[in-house]
Amino acid sequence: MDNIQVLVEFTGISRMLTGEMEYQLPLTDGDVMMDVVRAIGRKFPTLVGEVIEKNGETLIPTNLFSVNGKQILNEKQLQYQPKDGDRLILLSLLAGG
Amino acid sequence: MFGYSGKILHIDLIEQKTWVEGKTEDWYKIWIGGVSMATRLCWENITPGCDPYSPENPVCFANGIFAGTPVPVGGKYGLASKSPMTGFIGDSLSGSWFSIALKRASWDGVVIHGTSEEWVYLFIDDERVEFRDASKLMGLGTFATEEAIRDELADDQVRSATIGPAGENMVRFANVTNDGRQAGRTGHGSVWASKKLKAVSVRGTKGITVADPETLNKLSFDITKAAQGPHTSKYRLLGTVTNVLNMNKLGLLPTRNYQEGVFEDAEKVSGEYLHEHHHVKTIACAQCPIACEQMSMAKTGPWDGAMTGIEYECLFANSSNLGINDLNASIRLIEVADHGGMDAMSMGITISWAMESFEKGVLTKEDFKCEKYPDGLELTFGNGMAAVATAEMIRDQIGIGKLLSQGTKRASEKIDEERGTKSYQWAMNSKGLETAGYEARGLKTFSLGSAVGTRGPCHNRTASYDPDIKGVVDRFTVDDTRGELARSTEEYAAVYDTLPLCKFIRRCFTGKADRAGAWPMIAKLINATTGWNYEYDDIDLIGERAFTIKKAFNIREGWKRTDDTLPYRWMNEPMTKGPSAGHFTSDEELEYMKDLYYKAKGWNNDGMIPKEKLKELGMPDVAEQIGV
Repeated sequence: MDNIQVLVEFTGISRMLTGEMEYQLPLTDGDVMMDVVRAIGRKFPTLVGEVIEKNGETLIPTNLFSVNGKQILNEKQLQYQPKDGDRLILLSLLAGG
Repeated sequence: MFGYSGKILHIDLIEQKTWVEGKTEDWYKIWIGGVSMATRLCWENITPGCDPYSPENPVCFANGIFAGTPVPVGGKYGLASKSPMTGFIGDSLSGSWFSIALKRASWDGVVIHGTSEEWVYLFIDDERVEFRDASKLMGLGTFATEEAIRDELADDQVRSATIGPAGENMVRFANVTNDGRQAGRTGHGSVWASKKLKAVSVRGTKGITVADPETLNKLSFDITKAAQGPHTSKYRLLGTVTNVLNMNKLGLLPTRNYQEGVFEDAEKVSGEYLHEHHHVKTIACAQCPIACEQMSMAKTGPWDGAMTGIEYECLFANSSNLGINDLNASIRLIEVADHGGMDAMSMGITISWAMESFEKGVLTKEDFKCEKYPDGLELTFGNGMAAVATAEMIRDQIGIGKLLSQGTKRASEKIDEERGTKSYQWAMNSKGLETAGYEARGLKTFSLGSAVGTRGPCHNRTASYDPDIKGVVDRFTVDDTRGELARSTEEYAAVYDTLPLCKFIRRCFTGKADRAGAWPMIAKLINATTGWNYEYDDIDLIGERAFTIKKAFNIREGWKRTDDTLPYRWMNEPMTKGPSAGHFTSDEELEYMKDLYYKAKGWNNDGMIPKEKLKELGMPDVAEQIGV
C-alpha cells in the first residue's frame, strides 16, 4: 500500500485545544476518515471528549470535516477515503449570534 | 393558570392610560410566548395597512414561558411591530434580566399604543405604570440610558429596554437594547422613536408559580449540567465568532459587500485572533449556564479602549464585508452600533454598499462632505477610519448619513433614481432587510430559506443552512428535497423562538439536536411549568403556528409571491474565488424551490394559506381575514 499525505486544518475549538493551525498527517492509501479521526485523537488527546467522541473513532455531532472546502462530511460520513494532498478542515460550526 | 399570569398590559401613550386584558388558557396554548405571541398581539392590535411610524403600529412584548424559572436559557422575550424596514412583521428576540423582571411583575405581554406628545419612558412597577419625562435621557447611549434610569429611580434592580441616539434620530434600522442584549433586527428602535418612547423600565417583585416545581428543578438541573459539557464548549470558549474562519474555509464568508466568499485576511479578523488579542471577558445572559458573549476591546490606535460584545453576525458585517483587516476598527464600529442603538448587521452592510458604490464611482468624496469632514471621505474597502466616520454620520444623521440611515434598499433606490445608476445590483437586502452572514450562493437550501423568511433574510428565523453546511445535501445544487427542508428547518427554529429558548441549548437535552432528541424534553419542561399535557406533536405545532401567524400578518399587509426573492447579486453574479466559486441561485432555481416550499407548507402556489389549514391550526379568525 502506498503512503499518502493529507493536511488536517484546525479552526475554533480544535485549534484552541491542539494549539496548532494544521498538521501534516501520513496515511496509507485506502484509509478512511475514521482512521484520520483516530490518528488525530492519538496525536492530540485534548480533542477526545470535546471534538472527538470518547471512543476515539468518530466526531461529536456539529463537528465536521470539509474536504478542500467543498465536500462536507458529518459524523456519519467517515467512510470517505482521503486522497493524497487533500486538505481536511476540522470545523466546529455554530449557528445564531 | 401556572406559568402565566393570564394578563396582557395595554398602555396608551396618547391618553396616558393603561388597561388590562385577560387571556384564556386556550389562547396561551396556541400562542405560547416569544415571537409567536408577540406577532399575535400585533395582529390583534395593529390597524392593517398602517404606516410603521404611525400611532396605529403597536409595540408588542411577549414574554417567554420559562422566563424567571430555573429552565436554562429561558430568560427571553419577543418584540414585534410592523417593520419600517420591510413593511411586514418585524419580530425580534432579546433576553436576560428584562424578561425576568417583566415576568416577576406578572405581565405575560405588553402592548404599547399611540404616540406620545413629549419624549417619555415607561416605568412598569409591578401593576403600576408611570409615564415619566425622558428629557434628561435624550442623547444618551443605550447602556448609559439604562444606568441613568437606575440612578433616577434609585433602584439597581430596575431593568430597562432602551433606544439610543440612532433611534432618537430615526435611523431606520435602529434597535432596542436591554442588559447588553439587543432586539436587533427590523428597526424597532425607530418605531419606538416615532412614538417618542425612549425606554421601557420594569421592576418586578413577585414570584412565579409553576405546576410541578420539583420536576422542573430536576429537569433544569440536568440540562444545566449538560450545558457545561462538550455540547457547548465551542460557544463557551470562542463564541459564535469562530464562524469567521469556518465560513472562510468553505468560501461562504461575505467579503467586500458580498462580492466574494473568501477574505485573504480572515485570520486577522477571526474569532481565534479576537480571543487572543482583544478578549476581555466572557459574559452570560441571565438564566444562562453557557456564556457565549465575548466582550472585546480595541487595544491600539485611534479607538484604543473601545469595547463591546462581539458576535459573528456583527463581526462579519464590520470586518471582511468591509474589507477591513484591523479588529480595532471592527470593535469600534460595533461599539458605535451597540451604544448608538443600531442593528450592527444592517449598518455594516449599508456601509459596504456605500463602499462599493464609492469604488464604482456612484458615490464620490463630495458626497461625504460635512462640517467634520470638509474634504469628504475616501470610503474605500478596507478604510477603517472612513468606515467609523460613516457609522457615526449614520447614527447622528449627518450629511450622507441621512441617506445611509435608511438601509440599502431605500438608499440604492434614491441614488439610482437621482443618478441613473444601478446600485440596486449590489444592495444586499431582501424585503428591505439586509442579508445574513452566510453567502447563500454556496448554500442552495439557505437561499430558499432566506427568500421566504417572513422578516426578511435571516440566520435565526430559519436553520435551512444546516442541511447544506452539514453535508445532508449537496449545497451547490437544487433538488426536490429543498422545499420540505426549508419548511422543516424554519418551523424547528420557530419552536425555539416562541418558547423562547436560546438555540445553543438544543443538544443539551439528550445529546441530539433533532426533533426526536429535543421535543420530548421540551414537552416535559412545558408540562412541569404549566400543568398541560403537551406531547411531541404539540411541540411541532408550536413552530408551525408561529410561522403561520407571521406569514398571515404579512399577507394582510399585502405580501405577494414576488416578495419572496433574493438580492440581485445572489441571483445573477457567480462568485469567482474559493470553494464556492461559480455558484449562484438562478431565478429558475429559486422559483422551483418556492413551488416546493409552498407545497410543503400546505399553501397554494401563490403562497396563500387555505382557510381549512388555518382552521386546523386553531386560527379561525385568521382564516376569515386572509384565508383562501
